[in-house]
Amino acid sequence: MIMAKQKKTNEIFIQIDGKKVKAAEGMTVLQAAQSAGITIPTLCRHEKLEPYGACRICTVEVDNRGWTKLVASCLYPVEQDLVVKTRSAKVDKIRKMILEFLLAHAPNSPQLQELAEEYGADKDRFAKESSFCILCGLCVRYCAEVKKKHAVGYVNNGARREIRFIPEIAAKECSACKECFPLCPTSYLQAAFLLSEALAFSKKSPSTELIK
Amino acid sequence: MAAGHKFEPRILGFLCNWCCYAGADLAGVSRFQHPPNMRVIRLMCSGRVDPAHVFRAFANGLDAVFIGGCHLNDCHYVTHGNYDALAMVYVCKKLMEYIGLNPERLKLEWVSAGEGIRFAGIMNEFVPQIEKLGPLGKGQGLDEQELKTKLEAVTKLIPYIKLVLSERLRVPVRTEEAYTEFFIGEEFTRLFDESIGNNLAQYPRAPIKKLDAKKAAVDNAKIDKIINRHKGEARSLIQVLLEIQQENHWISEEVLEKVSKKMGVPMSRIKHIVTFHETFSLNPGRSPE
Amino acid sequence: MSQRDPDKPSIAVCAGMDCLERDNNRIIAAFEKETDKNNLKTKVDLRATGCHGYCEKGPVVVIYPEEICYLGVTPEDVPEIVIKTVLGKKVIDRLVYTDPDSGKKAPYMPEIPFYKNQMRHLMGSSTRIDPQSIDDYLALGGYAALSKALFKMSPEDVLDEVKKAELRGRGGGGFPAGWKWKTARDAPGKEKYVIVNAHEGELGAFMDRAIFTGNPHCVLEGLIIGAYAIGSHQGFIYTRHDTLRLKNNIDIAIAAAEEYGFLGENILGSGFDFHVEVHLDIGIFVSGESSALMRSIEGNIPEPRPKYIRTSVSGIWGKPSDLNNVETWANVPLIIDKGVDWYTGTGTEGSKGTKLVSLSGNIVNKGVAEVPFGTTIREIVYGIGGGIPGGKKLKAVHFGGPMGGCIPENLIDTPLDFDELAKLGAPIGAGSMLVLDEDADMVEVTRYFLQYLSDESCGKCVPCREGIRQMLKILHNIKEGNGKKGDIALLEEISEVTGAASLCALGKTAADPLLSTLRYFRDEYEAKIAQGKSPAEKRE
Repeated sequence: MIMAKQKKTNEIFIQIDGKKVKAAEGMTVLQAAQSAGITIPTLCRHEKLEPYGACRICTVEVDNRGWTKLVASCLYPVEQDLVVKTRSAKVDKIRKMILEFLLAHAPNSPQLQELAEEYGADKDRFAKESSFCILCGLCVRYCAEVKKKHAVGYVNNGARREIRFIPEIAAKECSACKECFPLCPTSYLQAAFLLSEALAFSKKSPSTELIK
Repeated sequence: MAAGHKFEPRILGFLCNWCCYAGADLAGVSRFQHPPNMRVIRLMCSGRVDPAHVFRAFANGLDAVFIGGCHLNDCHYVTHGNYDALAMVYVCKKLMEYIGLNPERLKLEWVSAGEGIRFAGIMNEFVPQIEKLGPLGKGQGLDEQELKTKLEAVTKLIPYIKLVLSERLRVPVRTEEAYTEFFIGEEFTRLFDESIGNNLAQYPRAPIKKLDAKKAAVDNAKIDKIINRHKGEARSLIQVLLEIQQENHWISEEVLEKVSKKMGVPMSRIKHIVTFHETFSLNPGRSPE
Repeated sequence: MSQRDPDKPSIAVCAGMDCLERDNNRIIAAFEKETDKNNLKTKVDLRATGCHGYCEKGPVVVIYPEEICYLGVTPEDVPEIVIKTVLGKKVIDRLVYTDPDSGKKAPYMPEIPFYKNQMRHLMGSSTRIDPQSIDDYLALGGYAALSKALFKMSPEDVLDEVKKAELRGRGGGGFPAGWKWKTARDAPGKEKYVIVNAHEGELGAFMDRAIFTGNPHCVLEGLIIGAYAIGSHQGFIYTRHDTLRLKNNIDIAIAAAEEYGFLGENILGSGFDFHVEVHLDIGIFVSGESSALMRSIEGNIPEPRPKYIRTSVSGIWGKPSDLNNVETWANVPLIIDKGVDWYTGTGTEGSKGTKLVSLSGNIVNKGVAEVPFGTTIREIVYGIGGGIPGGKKLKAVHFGGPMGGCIPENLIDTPLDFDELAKLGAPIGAGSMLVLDEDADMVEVTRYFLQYLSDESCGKCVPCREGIRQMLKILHNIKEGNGKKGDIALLEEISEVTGAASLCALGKTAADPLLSTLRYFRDEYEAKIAQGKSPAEKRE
């Protein structure tokens, strides 16, 4: 489990942006940074959920035993004497482009806009995409891990991936809940919910055929 | 000689209080002749008109919808609601095209309070235009039931469409050129097709065709056997689904639910697996591999 | 072991995938009829064997013990073959290999250039074995290595041998198998797993299928030896759901091995237990990635995870899991049986042993070949592949499919070697060699591979999903003649981000074909952007 309790015996020291940081075995670099008050941007992270590693915006440079690599800090486990750089030319380039990819989908997202300003991301770099979901997975994971209802999930793979509500479960559970709605950085979750309500008829009669 | 029943178009008009309504009023007071086919609803700004209103009008059998507002940049309100009306009408026309209604049945015009003549002129053109088009549905050879279902589909999707409109179909600059350029362009068509068109197409229609019973037949006993062979263990989910696909050449919604229940796995996980690759067919009628 | 006489006369009809498509079921039936008619049923063995490798010239039939090789056989030729060759011991000239330049005939397999220039340590047995018969495998010395490992060596000894043999992964990673085994062995926990990755999703690669369908026991034997070395008692074979013949042969092999005591409880009385389970894939390329594969075995969606913690430490259900490719496992019995000195005698400094390659594209002899590492690409393309059809010039050879790169013509004296090829930006991958002639459109080849990855990616992480999406858009525009200045720079910038920040190897190497073609064929891109057509297309 990632969220390990801090024990005196398992203390390790790492370096983040030149600062010596005390961490515990089992922590991730992101957790260690947070404990030292160092900010690393995230989009798909939530304290109640298992780290996901999908947005990649928390990418940092780590140096261990002479090897430098770029890793997702929300998942990378701390090691004794690890040297971490949360900002660098490479890291900033990656973050800027990730933001530009996502802004093509959801330029109105407040989280994206705030980060875009910091990293100089241009929302018009890439052509507008029709879907305004950024697939951070917060809704899917919250419903699965916290509420354990699995009312919303993914369908399809690759660039066709999207979130979709399971109509039977959503009809029963969502009106009373909607705890995932404020988590959504865009308004796509709401849109997906409205869509699901609209299409819910398809479950009525087995002889109905869907138009492809 | 049999007296032919002349078709009198029934038109619903949404007129904005400040400009168009006053203009229409002026036309009436000044006795500028124009056909009386329009029933008027007065509202404070043309931007208030919602796609739901437009399609409810058609669903109620009205033959055309007219929206009248202030000239662009003259909107009485700071929010320039008439631009919102403009965007909304572009989208509505696209929707109408999609479901087979002639988009000319929806008209948007800017009329100022002093343009009584202009208003009458517009009516004198619009009503004959609709007369020529004929009554809604029948005039275009659309089956009544089919039209009803399609209108229903659009109406159901309107909350979703409005979100898409505000998120993805927004024009950053409030000028006529910018709006025209965007809504006539390829990008609008692409975005519309991908986010709205695709979903409209998925709306289930009324049972017109019964599924080929033989092709669709699901042998429940066989399904149970497959699940039991794998001891109903959740870890064998993929193997079970593959075997069912192999057996039946498709997997129905009911079977997915059965697998979900019997193996104790959430439906969302199953849905993701069966849509992850074309291996699985969720509709009958695909030829065996 | 078996009491078979390996020199008994036999007829080997290739029943590999390609030959099967060319109708050799009828040939097999015809042979059955003719041997019966001539009372040869007990005197001559008739076998439908695994792939011989010479797919271009199929259907292939080999007559033993003379090793007379007939190419392009039809069912109508069969009666003549039985009478003239099997009984009469005479060669039928029109069915043997003819050199296209000199016209010289080569009736015997070891003389044919395609076979002569190979070193068939792994594939050699395929022509002598019916993959559905464990006895055939035993007759050629099969399972001797397992016996030696279980009774004459400790698990640590076996692991040591594989380490010293410097066996490197054949699936694309090139990672030293011995080290992976050691990590799994040393990882905490009693329950460990070993896995055969028979997914083979790489476009243009069909050698794993060839060896596994043709000689499933050699892979199985390697797996059991590996399990013994690591301390695993449960194995998984992960294979494609759409290759039924392969799955069938694997099932038969496992059942036979269990029956003969090579699998199950107390193998051969050694006290070592080991069971094997077969798992089918959904069909998506990303499920060949090791961590995605393990999730699939668990019954979950095959999504990769970052491997900050190695799968050999935490794999299926969090247990140490050693995953190796089919060909890697097939090498293991050879190492144990013939020893490290013999094994390391073949190959180069950094790459020991032989490698199976599948030749496709603009090449005369499409098929599967086996060569020692160190063989130059030129030797493979011309000596074994027979060169380029139509007398055209070679442009490049593309290794590694959608995650690889190309070697241009002027560099084809590079030896086949993990490190040498990687240095040139064209890592060997699983061994698929797509040969491209002078008319090949390099931009289109790149776009095709990227489109494939777009269809087969899981879509979880932003750099891969969105990066590939945007790169494809640009390439599509360039293809349609709508490329613009700055496109190449943008492609390179996106490649940098996808390469650095993606979650798994699919995303990380997605742009490699692009970077490789930009490195050696940049002019084609520039020309396309400048004029709307590439130099190659203009020539038409």
